[in-house]
Amino acid sequence: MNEYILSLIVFLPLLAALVLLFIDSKRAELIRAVGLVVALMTFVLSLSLPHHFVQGQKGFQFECLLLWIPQFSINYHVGIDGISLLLILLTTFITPLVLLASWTDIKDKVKAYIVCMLLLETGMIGVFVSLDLILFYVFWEAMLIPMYFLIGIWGGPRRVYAAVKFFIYTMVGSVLMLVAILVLYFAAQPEHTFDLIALTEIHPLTGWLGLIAFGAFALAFAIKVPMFPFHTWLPDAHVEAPTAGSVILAAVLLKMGTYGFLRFCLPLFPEASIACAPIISALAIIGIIYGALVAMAQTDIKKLVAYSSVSHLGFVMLGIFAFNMQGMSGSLLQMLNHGLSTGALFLIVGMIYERRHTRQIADFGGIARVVPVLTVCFLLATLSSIGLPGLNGFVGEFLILLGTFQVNPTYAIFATFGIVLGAAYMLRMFRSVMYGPLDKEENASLKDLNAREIAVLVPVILCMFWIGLYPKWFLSTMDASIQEVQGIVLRADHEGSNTTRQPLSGPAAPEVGPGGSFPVAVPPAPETGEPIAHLAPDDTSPPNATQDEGVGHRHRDATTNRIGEVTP
Amino acid sequence: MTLPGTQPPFIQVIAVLPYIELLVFGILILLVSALSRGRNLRLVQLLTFAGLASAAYSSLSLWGQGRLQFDQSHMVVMDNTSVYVLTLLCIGGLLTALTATNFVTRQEKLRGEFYALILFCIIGMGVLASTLDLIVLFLAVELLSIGLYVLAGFDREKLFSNEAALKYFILGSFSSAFLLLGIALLFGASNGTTDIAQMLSAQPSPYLSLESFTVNTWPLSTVGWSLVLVGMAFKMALVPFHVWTPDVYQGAPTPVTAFMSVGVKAAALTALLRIMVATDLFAIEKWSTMLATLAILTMTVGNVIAIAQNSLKRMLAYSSIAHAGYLVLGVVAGGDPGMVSKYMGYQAILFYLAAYTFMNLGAFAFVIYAGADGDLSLDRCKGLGFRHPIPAAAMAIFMLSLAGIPPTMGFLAKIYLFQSVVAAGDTGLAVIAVLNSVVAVYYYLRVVVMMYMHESPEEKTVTDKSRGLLLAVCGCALVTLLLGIFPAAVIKIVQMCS
Repeated sequence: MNEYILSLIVFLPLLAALVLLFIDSKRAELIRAVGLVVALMTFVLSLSLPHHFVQGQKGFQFECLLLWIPQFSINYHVGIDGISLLLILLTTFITPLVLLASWTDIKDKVKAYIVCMLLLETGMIGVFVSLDLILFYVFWEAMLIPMYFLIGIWGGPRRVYAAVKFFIYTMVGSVLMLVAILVLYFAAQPEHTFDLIALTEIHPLTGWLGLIAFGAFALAFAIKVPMFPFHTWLPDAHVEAPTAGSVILAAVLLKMGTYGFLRFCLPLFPEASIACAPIISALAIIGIIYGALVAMAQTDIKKLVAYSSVSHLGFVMLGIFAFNMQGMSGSLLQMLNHGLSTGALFLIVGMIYERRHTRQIADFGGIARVVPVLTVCFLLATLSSIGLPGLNGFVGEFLILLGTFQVNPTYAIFATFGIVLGAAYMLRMFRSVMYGPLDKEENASLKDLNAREIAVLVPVILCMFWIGLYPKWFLSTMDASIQEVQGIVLRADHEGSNTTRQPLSGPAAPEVGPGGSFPVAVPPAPETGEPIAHLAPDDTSPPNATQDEGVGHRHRDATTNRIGEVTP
Repeated sequence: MTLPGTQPPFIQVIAVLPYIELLVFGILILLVSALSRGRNLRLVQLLTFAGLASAAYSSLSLWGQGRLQFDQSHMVVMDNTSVYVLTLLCIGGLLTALTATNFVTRQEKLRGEFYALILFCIIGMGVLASTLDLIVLFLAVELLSIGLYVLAGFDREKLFSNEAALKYFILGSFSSAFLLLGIALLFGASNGTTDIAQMLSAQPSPYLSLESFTVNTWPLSTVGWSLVLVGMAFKMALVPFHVWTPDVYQGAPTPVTAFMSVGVKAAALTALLRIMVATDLFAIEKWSTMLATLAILTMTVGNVIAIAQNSLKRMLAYSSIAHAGYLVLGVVAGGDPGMVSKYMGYQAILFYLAAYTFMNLGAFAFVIYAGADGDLSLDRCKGLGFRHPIPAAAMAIFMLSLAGIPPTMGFLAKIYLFQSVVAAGDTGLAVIAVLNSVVAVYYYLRVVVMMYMHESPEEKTVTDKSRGLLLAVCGCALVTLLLGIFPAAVIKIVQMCS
C-alpha cells in the first residue's frame, strides 16, 4: 500500500478529470461538487503521508519504481522526502480551497475549468514526487497546459498575451534543461540513467560541463521562481489569471522553481552551485529590493501582490544559496509561508474584485467599517506577508536572514531592507483600502464575507498561526532531507577546497560565523560512501533535541561552511 | 543483375508481394470506377481499404524474416525497416482515404482514380523506402511524384489546385533531372554499378582513377552524391529546396496535402537512411557538416516563416518543412561513426515518422473538418473549442504534439531524436533544435488560442462531418496521446528495425 499511495495521490485528480469528461456540461453544480470532493479526497489521502512518514530518516520514502520506457532506462520512479512532503501537502491543501473559492466566480465553461484544475493538481503533485528526470520533465511541461488554459480562457482582458507569455517563457528555460538532462544521461557511466538518486551518487558532470548544465537547469528554475531578470512574465500572468489561477500560481507553481534548485541543481551540480552562489545571491537581493520598490509603485492591488512575490521568492533563493541549515530550512519554510500568505492575499483580492469589479487601490477606502470580517482576514494575511512575529512569515524570514548573515552579512543587511520595504508597501496598501474616509458610494453597500468565503480563509489563517507559533513539526519533517542536500554541497566544497583551493581553505575555515563550531579538520575527500554523516553536525544529536528552545536557536551549532567565501 | 540464360533466375516474389497487391487493387479500382462511371464510390472505397489492409498484412507477415530480396541484386529488399515504413504508409493511405470521402464525392468525374492514385503512390513510396539501387530509387521517386502531380491538381475546377499541380510538376521534374544526373555521375564514378551497397567497395573507374581518393571522396562521386542529395532534399522540402512547398500544400486538395506531407517524408528519409547505412557517407565530415547546415537552415526558416502564416494549410506546410529539418538531425546523428548514435539516429527517425504520421495527418484532417473552401484560416478557428469540443480537443492534442510537449508522441519523438544527437556529441545542434521548438510553440499555440480563447461572433462554420473523417481525427488523437504515454512497444519495434 505504501508503495502506491503516492501514485494514487498523483493520479486521482487525473482519473476524476477523465470521468468528468463524460458528465453533461450543463450540470455545473454537480461538476463543481465532484471537483471539490475529489480535491478533498486527495487532501485526505495526502494526510496519510505525514502519518506514515518517518521523520529524521535520510533518503526517500514511499518509493515506487516501475519500468516505463526500459529501452532508455526511463522509469516511473516516485518517492518523497521531507522537502517534497511539505510541498505536496501545500498543493493538496490549496487546491480544494481554490475550488471552493471559485465556486461562484467561474460561471462559464465550468466543466472545462474543473477539468483543468484537476489536471493541474496531478501535474503539480507529479513534479514534487518525480525522482526520474524525464518523468519530472514530463510533469513539469504537462502542467503548463492546464495553467495556460486557466489563464487564457478564464482570465482578464489581456489574458491571451499573458497565457502565451507564461507558456513561452517557461518553455525556453525548460527545453535547455532537457538538453542538459540528456547530456547528464550520456555522461553517467557505466550505465546511462535518468534516475535522480543514481545520478546524485555518480555525479557525472563536473568542471565546465557541470557549470553549463547547471546553467541550463538554473535558467529553467530561475524563470519559474521567478528570479530578477526573468520575472517579467509573472505580473502579467498574475494580473490576468482568474483568482484560482493566481492563487495556484503563487502558492505552488513558483515553488516548483525553488524546489527545482533544492532537489536538482544542488545535488546534481554542487560545485557549480557553490561557484554560482554569489551571482544567484546577488540576483536574489536585486529581486528582493527591486520587487519591493516596484510593488510600492503599483496602483492595482493584484499587481502589488504579484511584485511582492518577486521580493519574497528572492528571500527563498537567498536562503537556499546560503548552504547552511538555517538558510535552507528557512527557505523551505518560507516557500510554505509564501504559499499561504500570498495565496490568502490573492484569495482576498479575488473576493474584493468579485464584489466591486475593480482592483484599483484608489477605488477603495474606509471599507473596514463595511466589511469587518474581510478586514480581519486581510489584516492577518498582510501581517503574515510582512513577517510579523507570531505569524508564519516571521519564522521563515528570520531563519533565512540568520543563515545568510553567517555567510555574508552584507547580503543579510541588504535583504533586511526588503523586509522594511515590504512592510511599507503592504501596510500602505492596506491603509488606503481599508481605512480613511468612506468616500465612494459603491463601497458603502459592500457585502461582508459569506460562510463559504470564511470557510476558504479560516484554514489558511489557522495554518499561518500554526507555523508562526509552533513550527517544530515542519522543521523536524524537513530536517533530515535538508541536511542531506546540504551534506552533498558541503562535501563538494571540501573536495574542491582540499584539492584546488588548499591554500584558501586553511585560514578561512576557522572564521565561520558567530555560532560556528564546525571542526576545521574535516576528513578529506575519500569517504564517498557515507559522506553526510561526518559533515552535518546536527546528525549526531537526535532531531528533536534542540528544537524546543525556539526557532532561532535550534540550528545554532550547524554552521556555514562556505570556505573561501566567508567574510565576516 | 544476372545475365539471362546463365542460371535459372532466383526470384522471391514474396518480397514484393505487398506492392503487387497494391497494384492489383489499384487496377481493380480503376476498372470498377470506369465500368460504373464513378457512381459506385462505396465499392471503390471498400477496395481501397482492402488493398491497403492486404498490403499491410502481407508486409507484416514478413516481419522478422531478415532481409529478403526480390532477386540477387539489391533492387528491392524487404527487411524490418521496409515492413515498418510500408505499414506506416498503408496507415497513412487509410487515414487519407477516410478523410477524403467528402472531397471525392464532390468531384463529378474521376472519383475512383483518386483512390487508385493513392495506392500507386504508396507503391512508389514503399519501393523508395526499400531499395538499395539508384536506378530503382529514381523510378520510385518518379512513380510517387507523378501520382502526386496528378493528385495535387485533382480539384480540377479550382485555379489554385491547377497552379499547385503545375508548380509541383515543373519544379519536380527539374529536381528529378538533378537526381538522374547525379546517378549517372555515380554510375561512372563507381565503375558501372548503381547498387548503393557496392559503391563503397567498387573500384574507381580505371579511366578516371586517381590514387589518393577513395570512392566516397572522389570529386566525381562528390558531385554525384551532391546532386542525388539535392534531388532528395527537394522531395523532403529541405531549405533551400523548399520554395514549392507552401504553394503546393496550400493549393492541393487537403487530403492530398496530408498524404503528401507524411508519405513522401517517410519514404525519402528512409531512403536517406539506407544510403547512410550502406555507404557510411555521412561519417565523412564534409557530408555531415553539409547535412547539419541543411538541417539548421530548414528548421529555422520553416519555424520562423510559419509564425507569419494566417492560413492553417500554409502554416502546416512550413511546419512540415521544420519537421523535415528535425528529421535530418537524426541522419546527422546516425551518420556519426559512434555505434550508439548510429542506431539511435536510425531508430529515432523511424519513431519520429510514426509520430509525425499520426499528428500531422490528424491536424490536416481537422483542417478538412473545420475548413471552408479547402482551407482554414486562423480567424475561422475562433470559438471552435467549445462549439466542437471533441475535434477541437483532438486538434489541441495534435498542436501540442507537433510542438513537442508531453505527454504526447511528438514529445517522445523529439526526446528520441535529441538523445541521438547528444549521443553523437553534437550538443550544440541539439540546443539549436530545442530553441527552434520553442519558436514553434508560438505558432502551434496560436491555433489553440484561437480555438479556445477567442469567441466568434456568429456561427459560420460549415463542417465536413463525414463519419470517416471524425474517425480519423479521433483515432489519430488517441494514438498520439496513448503512444505518447506508453511508447515502449513502438520503441521496441523501431529497435528491431535497425
